[in-house]
Amino acid sequence: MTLNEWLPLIIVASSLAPGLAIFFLAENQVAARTTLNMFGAVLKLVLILVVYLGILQGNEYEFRYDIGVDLEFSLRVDLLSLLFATLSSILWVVTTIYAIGYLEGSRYRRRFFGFFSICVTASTGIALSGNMVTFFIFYEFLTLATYPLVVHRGTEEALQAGRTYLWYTIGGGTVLFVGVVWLFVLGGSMEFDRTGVLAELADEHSLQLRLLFWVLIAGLGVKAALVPLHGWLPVAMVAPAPVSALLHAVAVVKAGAFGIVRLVYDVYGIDLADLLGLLTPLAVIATITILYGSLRALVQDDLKRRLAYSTVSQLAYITLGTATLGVTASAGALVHLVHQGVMKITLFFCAGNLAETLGIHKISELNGVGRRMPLTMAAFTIAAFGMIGLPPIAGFVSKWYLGLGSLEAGHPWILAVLLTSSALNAAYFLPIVHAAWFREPDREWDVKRRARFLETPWTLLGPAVATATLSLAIGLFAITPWSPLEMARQIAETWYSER
Amino acid sequence: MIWILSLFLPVLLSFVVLFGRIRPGWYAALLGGAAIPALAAGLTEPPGTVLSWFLLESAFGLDETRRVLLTFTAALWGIAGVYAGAYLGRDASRGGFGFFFLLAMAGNIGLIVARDVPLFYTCFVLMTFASYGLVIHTRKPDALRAGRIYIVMAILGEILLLAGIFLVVAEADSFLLEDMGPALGAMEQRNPALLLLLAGFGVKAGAVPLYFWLPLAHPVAPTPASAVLSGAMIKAGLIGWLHFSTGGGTDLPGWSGMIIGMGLLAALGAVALGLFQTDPKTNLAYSSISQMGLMTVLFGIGLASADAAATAVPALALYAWNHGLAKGALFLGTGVALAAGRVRPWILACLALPAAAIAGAPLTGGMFAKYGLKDAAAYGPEPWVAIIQWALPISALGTALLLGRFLWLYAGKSGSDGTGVPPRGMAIPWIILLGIVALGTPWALSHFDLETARPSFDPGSLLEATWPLVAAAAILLLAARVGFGRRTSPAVPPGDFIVVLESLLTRMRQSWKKPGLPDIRHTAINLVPVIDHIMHLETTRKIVDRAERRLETWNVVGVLFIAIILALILVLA
Repeated sequence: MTLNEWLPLIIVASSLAPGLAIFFLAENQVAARTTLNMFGAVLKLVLILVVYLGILQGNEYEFRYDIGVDLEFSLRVDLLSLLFATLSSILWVVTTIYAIGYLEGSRYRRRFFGFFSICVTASTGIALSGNMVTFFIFYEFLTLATYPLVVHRGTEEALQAGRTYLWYTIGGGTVLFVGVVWLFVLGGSMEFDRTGVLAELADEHSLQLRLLFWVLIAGLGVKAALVPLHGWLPVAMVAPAPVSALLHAVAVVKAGAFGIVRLVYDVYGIDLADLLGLLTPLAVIATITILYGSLRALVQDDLKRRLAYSTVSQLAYITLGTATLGVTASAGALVHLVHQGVMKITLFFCAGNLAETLGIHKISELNGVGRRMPLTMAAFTIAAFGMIGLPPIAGFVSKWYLGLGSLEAGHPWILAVLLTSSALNAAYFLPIVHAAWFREPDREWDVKRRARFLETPWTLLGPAVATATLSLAIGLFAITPWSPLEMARQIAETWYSER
Repeated sequence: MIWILSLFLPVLLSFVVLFGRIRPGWYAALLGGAAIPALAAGLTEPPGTVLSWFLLESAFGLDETRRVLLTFTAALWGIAGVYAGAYLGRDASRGGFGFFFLLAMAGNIGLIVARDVPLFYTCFVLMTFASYGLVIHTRKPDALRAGRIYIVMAILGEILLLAGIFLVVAEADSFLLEDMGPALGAMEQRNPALLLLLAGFGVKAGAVPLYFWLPLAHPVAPTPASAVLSGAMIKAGLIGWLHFSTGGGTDLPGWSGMIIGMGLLAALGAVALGLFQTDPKTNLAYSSISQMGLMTVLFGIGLASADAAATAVPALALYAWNHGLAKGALFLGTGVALAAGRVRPWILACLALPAAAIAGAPLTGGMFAKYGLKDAAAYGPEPWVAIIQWALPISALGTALLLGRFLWLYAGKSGSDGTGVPPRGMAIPWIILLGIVALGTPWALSHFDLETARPSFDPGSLLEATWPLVAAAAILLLAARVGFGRRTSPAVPPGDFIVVLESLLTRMRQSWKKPGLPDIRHTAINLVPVIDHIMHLETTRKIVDRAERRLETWNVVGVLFIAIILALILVLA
């Protein structure tokens, strides 16, 4: 086997190995743990860059291992996996720094960082999976790796949230398992680069294929938080801020959304999905989710809960774009996969900063906080404006492509949904921004942390500012060759080039 | 390079004034200087450019119409910026003001020089949101109320606008603004798209019936901000209209008539409402709505045919030029007089010049603008040609009355505690602006090859331009003699019908208020009051909360989801 064949496995292992090693360190070996963590995070980023350059030169990266009984474990790098892997590895670096600052001095950090790394391993695995079976393995792996993170605080509320989380995800996993087995019976292990397999069965088994699709969506929809399977997400926000940030941006919810993208484009193929009439109902589910999430977000006073419902809504943009026929909408869905992650992680970092520095958890406590924590609130403002879809921030680019795509596909109602959702986003984000910048402070904050020069320790501030800057940059320079938009467009074009 | 500077220099400087503790002198120089690249671009005719790395590939460039618009916009922003230095003095909050001022400036300039839709829309949004900071700058209750209504209307406008933009761009298959007109002309869903664009840009342009935020928001801002709001930024909607709907080679006489009607209604109605106002700045805001109404008429005429557009669009640019500069001068003048503490006759005389220019007095830019309007009116669709001819003199009289009333209100406000000498930092930029109002028109005219550029100065035309002024003066004197117009509180509240709407909403809110509900003030700025309240009702919350709790058990969820899927399959199979 050559290096190119091993590289996908090495990329996955680059976070697994540090994660496992951390379990063997003592609780107080902070320096060693931090070094391991950062080494893994940076190594993964570099490797992904190497693979990206290789892919541009036409190299192929594939690792295969025969499990037996026709089951194959396969890791393969295509542009879509690179898009998702790049996102998760960049945000992993930032979140690791944030988590180190956030958990400074607290207990059980060994457990936390160990599972944190394993969690990233799982999402990288999901990104690089070459077939449905491998995807399922990592998908379930992710469920188990995130549970200790969700219940990390160990409080009754956290344990309760953890139970709900497990009910949902294990249940979703079970349904997905049924779907994957069914799929295996019909078409084998379903390599993502061989889309035509199911299309040949379309005439004979069309009803079966339709039912199968919805079983798979039901399984994936739990993590993708499609209404009414979203219930675990607002509950799970009791987790520590870095976990929420990762959960809402790349790890769990994105695994679901990514799975839906793979299912529609690389398992069924867009033509078959269209032929079987699967796209419109999927778009309807996404629409319900978008509007319901936004309406629920409006009435939350708890900042993290509002952000959680906002995730429910924003995530469904990806599903909506996936379910809209046409290159433009597909590109919009893919680019939102990245954009939503970068913007949402910023919002959660900021919420964490407010809680950790001033003890603020509620929106009604935010009056005048912009004066006390200007950089945090500036980052929050950028990300919130991006979520509304205001230019020149990343979210606008997503909305632009999704909106144009909906018209290209001949579905103006999707455009109406997107714009209604924008208005609702404005209705629940702008009051926060207004209160923070334009109201007078009306209370004494319960100051928890101080930093000498900055409003809060740099390990908390830096990541928020970095991701806010990134969400501005990928919007401002959306047209440049290395931007998420260009990658998304290339991927979308390959899906439609075979038509 | 000049394009990049004209857009990015104000953005860059906005952060300098926000973070640096700038002394008033430097502050004035920075705020004013930020507009210089744009002014230079307007005056020197540089070739357009494309930034292939910015946004979705941004194109910059001007045509003759927008060159005239850019020049007066940049000049007004620059002068208002210098003026702001003295106006704010050592005010502790001037950093924040300068930040929003410069961002709004960047947006306003950018949307004029933009040649592609994403850049145009970006700048439009930047201007919209930055001006919120200007409107609520004082943080007084009336400013906050105006700001709330402004932002709700702005977002509503933005949504409608974006819907219209999407429809046209999808048809055009191009992001360039010059392709939008033809696309709109050719497209199947032309009517919904045009309606959306009309409403979306109409919010900014103060068109009927979306104007009511304007008499609230324009006067409460600090004076230099009022000047650019009412002089320059209000034209952004017009520019949008022109980009998206004219030059398409498709005649739209039906739409043309409707828009002309809308414009005339604003032109005459706003005068009537404005006459009842007692605050001079509010009076000016109503005058802006009325003048925008006449510009809307010109835009409407331009939709009738290609010939009509060839006459109406330059006339529109000329009208905007004159109104923008003169209205800016009027607003800045109110601040000069206020700072002087006492209204000296020379100040009043100086204020009368831009007022006369807007009213179309002989030899002012306003006379040329009115001529343009009259010429263009001949190309309008039937029966509007006759109606316009009939309405224009009334409108001229109304404008003269409204601005006469403004001067009257001003003279009546004269305090006696000041020296009567305004600070130089405010007086000098104001006088420069007055100079441009008086002498700048030939430059604007030189850009258009129009018959209207040369109105004849025979006694007949001079009389036609003069009589509204004389008549208005006579009416005002008579009214004063009889005792009208002495009220100190306005007979019609500023913002007119929004007040009714507001009290209705307040009553609804009170009837919905139940003990134990969270304070809704921090959950939403009443963007969707009705939905907001339904969502906050105890019963609604209980039902939804209970439903969500139910959803926390898996068996319910699973059954429900499978049921939904089966239902969908059945419906769609």
